[in-house]
Amino acid sequence: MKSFRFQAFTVKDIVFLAVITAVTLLAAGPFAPIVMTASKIGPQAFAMALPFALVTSIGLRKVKKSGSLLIIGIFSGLVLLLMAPVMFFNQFTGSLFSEGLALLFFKNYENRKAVLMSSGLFAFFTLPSTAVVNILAKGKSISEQIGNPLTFILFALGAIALGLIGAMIGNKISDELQKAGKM
Amino acid sequence: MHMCKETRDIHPILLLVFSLLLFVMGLLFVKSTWFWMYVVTFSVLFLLFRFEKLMLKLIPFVLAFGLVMGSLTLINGSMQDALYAIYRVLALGLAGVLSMSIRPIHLVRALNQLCVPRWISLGLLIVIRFIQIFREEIKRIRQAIALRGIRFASTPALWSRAFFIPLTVRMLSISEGLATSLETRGFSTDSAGSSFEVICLKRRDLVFSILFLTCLTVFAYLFLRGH
Amino acid sequence: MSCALEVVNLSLSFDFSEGKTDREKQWVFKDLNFKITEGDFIMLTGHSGCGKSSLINMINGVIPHLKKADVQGDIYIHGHCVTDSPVRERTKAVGSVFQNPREQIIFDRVADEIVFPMENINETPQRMRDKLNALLSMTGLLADAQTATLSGGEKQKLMTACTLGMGQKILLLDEPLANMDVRSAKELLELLKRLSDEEGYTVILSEHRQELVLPYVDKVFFCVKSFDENVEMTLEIRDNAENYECDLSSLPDRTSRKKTNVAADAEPVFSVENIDYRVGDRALFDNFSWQINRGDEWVILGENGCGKTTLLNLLFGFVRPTFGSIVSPYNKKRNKRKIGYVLQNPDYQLFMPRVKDELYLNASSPEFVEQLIRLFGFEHMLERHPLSLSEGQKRKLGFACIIANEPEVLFLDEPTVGLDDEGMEQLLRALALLNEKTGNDRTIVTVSHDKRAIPYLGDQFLVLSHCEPYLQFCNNKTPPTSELPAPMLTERAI
Repeated sequence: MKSFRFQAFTVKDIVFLAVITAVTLLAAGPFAPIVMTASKIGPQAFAMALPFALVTSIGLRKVKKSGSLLIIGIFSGLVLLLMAPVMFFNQFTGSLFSEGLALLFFKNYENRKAVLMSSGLFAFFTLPSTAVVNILAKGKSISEQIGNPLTFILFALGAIALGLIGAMIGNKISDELQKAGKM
Repeated sequence: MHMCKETRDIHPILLLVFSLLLFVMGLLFVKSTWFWMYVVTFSVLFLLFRFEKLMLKLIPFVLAFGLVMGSLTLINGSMQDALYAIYRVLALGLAGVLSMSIRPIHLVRALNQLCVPRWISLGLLIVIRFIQIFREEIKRIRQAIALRGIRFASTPALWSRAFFIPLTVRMLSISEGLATSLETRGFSTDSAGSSFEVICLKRRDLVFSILFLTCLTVFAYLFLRGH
Repeated sequence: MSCALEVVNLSLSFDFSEGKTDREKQWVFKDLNFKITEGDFIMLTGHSGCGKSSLINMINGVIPHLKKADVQGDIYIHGHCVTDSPVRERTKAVGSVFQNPREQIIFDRVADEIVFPMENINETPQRMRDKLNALLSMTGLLADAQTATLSGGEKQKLMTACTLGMGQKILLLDEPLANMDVRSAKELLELLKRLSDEEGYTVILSEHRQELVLPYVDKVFFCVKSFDENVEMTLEIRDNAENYECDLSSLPDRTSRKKTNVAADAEPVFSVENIDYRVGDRALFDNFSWQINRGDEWVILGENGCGKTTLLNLLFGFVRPTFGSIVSPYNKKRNKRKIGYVLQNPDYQLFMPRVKDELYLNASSPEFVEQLIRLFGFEHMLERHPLSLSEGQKRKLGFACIIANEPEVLFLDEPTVGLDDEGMEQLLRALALLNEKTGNDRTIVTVSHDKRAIPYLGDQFLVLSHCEPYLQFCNNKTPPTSELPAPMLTERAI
């Protein structure tokens, strides 16, 4: 029977997740100007979706323990906290929601679809927290942030699609390295 | 007995909290006539507390980033909107002076003292350190790709393969080596460990906090009063 | 002296095939037995991939607690059986120093890195301060130095200091001298010898470069091929002082090689003209000039961090000189493909799904690839994933992939590191094969620390050094036989 598994994280797990976070932040680095300059919500998630999903999915294939994505979210949030404090909430809630949803459906990461869902939806789930932070910090209403609803929907769907594509590529790389005995 | 050294560094947790407050308040003030007063006041405070080196380092970033953000806003918005966009970058830069002055090791030790699990603070350190390591790794991988004569423009799929497979292999091998090294150096996720240095509140922290909070309260009052 | 470490009937296997009995399994080693007395300084040596690191990792508990393996037998440390103790327990008695210190350092200040293991074992701040001061004076490191700016040798010293801070009296060092220049290596060896002689530390050091370590050790544990076909290696314990230099007399005689270019009409392929190159505040090259002609075979020698790899990168064009220029027909983008550059770590250059794909990608002629396959013995592994190969095999494959393109100019960065004598011989034969194909017009520039290979890798030597006017040339057939950095070869030959 499937069940939630909360296993203790070993030093090896923590180190790998930290290394994955470092690479995730680097991979997303080139998109940072888009993320930080976009005045509407949607483009940020769209720009970050592919690199985040690709690298985090490799992390989840290696450390298949519940809470792995949340740890990546905490680590990246803590680093971003030193640069732009509000980014912490963005990363934390994104990882919390996407991992929560994936585990609700699949219970654990043994199924690669769980990895696909968790990593693939990470960027999309940063949208709610970005909206809340914008309301609280910038005083922008939801309608102001969304702008043209059609454009917003396209960006949101694009973020999901790119996230899933990134996660699929990450899964493929993991499969190959698993076959080579590296994972 | 733990000794608290009188250093020039402000307590890292204070810096984090103040940075957050400064950024949020800065965003609220963007459209206010007091914005420049806000920027000047806190800049003077930072200069008094010897943050000048970091301020100088951040100026090019703020200028470049501000111009990009302003230009992008100008495409769809008015001149006024572009100006506000630049002000937002300025607010971010001002908050960044505080948060980026934190030495990671001080933050880690302060977090440990607040009973934050050691694996979180260690993870934070690894992320910070390994961003630089992997920047070099990525450079080497790109050089290796060039050496095999592969170009993204002509064979994007092969280029991506030649990039991601070695990158993943390096992630695996570096993390395995580091984990083994940490374990053989006695690190474990369930032990609290001791601390070489105690990060405590000093007189300098108190003076800085009083001045910072006083300024912030005045500006909060001005904001609430309706500028 | 009492016994520090005892190994009883120790066996190791990574063969997890189902249904195999112990007799049918492939073992790395089987039924090893040895005792090491307190204060002994032991060198563990043998060819690459023979199981030296595995033995060290079994003693410190990394195998089987962090790396899965089938382990039998018992290990006793100071008389206590530790076979089932996890790494954390064993670290109380055994300290370990690994390769690649750059990838193990997590703090930006030397002092923070050294006290980190002490914090892990709950030392008091006062004790940490005392130990820190002692370790700093012992290693010559500065407390406030930035770890990122340390040289490779200093980083290795730092990792050794971290281990010493924990106070274990048994030290295991897994190829700590790899990629270290002779001076740094000797400094580290002297430190270990002092600890062993004066403070009773038991030191087990795994290393390829026997000639460097032999003068310091009491015993040599030599990993030799086992007579049992199901067991890869066994240990031969010898009492120091014998010379185990490898015999490479069967190699092709390089001096008989005829060059098509003679000095007078030699075509320059790289003219380095008064270049300056700085890394931060440090000048690596200052008004440096050099000329490489077609058909030349240069070996660049020198201390760690003195700019050997940087020089290759400057020649290739990965980095540009701060001042001055490097004139070469290969500066043009379309000519770059005629340069082959074998990186030190093959992990960067291998990415295809099969060994076969890797070899044929960019290969100039299938016939030459087939010759290389036979030479390196890749016949039975063509369908395997390149990353599933052993480290030595990966290095040979990385090398073969580059030369399969039949480059006009070949840059080799430490091509023989981690290769056993047989692997080195294969590599040198492949180079000879490459030369045969092009009438000896191939230009080869090699960076190497490996004294076994240097005589066979080139006939002109460029010695880079921090301390002296940084370079000297020698154009003898005989390479510098003295220790690096050579007591300065004085003949300027170009």
